[in-house]
Amino acid sequence: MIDQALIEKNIDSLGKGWIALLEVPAESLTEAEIVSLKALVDRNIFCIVLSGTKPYTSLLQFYNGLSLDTNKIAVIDCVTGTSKQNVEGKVWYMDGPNALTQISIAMSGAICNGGEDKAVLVDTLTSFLMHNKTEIFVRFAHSLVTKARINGASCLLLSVDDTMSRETRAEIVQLCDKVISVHDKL
Amino acid sequence: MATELMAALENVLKSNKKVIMMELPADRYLEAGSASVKVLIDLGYRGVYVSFQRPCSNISSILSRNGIDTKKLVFIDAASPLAEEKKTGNCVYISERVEVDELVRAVYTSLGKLEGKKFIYIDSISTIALYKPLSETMRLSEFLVSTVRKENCTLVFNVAKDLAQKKFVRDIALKADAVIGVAE
Repeated sequence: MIDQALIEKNIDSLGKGWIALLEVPAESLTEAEIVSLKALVDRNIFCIVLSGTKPYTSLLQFYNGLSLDTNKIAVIDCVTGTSKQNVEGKVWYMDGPNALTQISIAMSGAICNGGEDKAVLVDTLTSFLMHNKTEIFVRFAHSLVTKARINGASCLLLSVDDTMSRETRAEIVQLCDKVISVHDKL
Repeated sequence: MATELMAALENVLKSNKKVIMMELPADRYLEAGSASVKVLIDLGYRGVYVSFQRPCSNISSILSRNGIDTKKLVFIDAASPLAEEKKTGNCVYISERVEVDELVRAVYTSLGKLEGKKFIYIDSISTIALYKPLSETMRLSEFLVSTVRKENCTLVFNVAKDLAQKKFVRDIALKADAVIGVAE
């Protein structure tokens, strides 16, 4: 069970333009994603979900089921595996989770577009690391968080507990302002 | 943790060691890094902060929030070429290719602008290795070490403790006069 208050407290304490790593057990991943997304959308933050675990159609069902305002969410879908953008411009389909250049270009457009507060939610580091060489993905992550910082966007990196090596985790954690574990107590 | 680090760094600086490697716990990397810069500034040093991890505006505001007078620092920003940051005051921006020769020139020129006791702060040596071949990373570290040995200057390499066992980090640690490890 994810403690919603813990996630909200951390988001509120970080201000604007933060980068955080959220570590969760595998069985709580979807719940953690939904709770985080809801907390961000409720704070009127436009969310860009970089999805490496679920296709857009499944995500949309989740969002609608929870009455999340989908006008406040865009998805970069790396799972469906087709290259197109839908007519509303709320979803970009990537060739796959290893198409890092394509993802980077889509992400630049999404982060740099418009003046509202934005946050990127990466779902999950674990899945992207499965499809990419560690060093290349860490470089991508560094470029993503730097882009977010410069444009005043926040970034929440979701990761499944104990799936990264100590070295990879250290590389990622160094880039973050905060590490949130769902095992933390309020 | 910060108190332990500050005491260890202060001791090393007082014993006139020139090349220092700090192995910081990854989860408290930023906090520990800021604390170590504060020690240097409080001891009257002025420094060149080479940031591979965070854009200049970000690291500068973090250090300011931690009570550090950033006017005593020159920042060399090797992180934001990736994302075109708006240029600001006491910061030298490295071009997109992040060439070691350009970094070397920037460090040398920036040191010349500082007076009194000086330091060079590398944050972090493992991040540059993501972008450059190890031979180039080693060349940069060798230039920095030889510069501080010639000049009245201190060099601090930062690295996350969990990355300290990488071979190239060990090779750099061999050239250090002191290695400071902080318990997690």
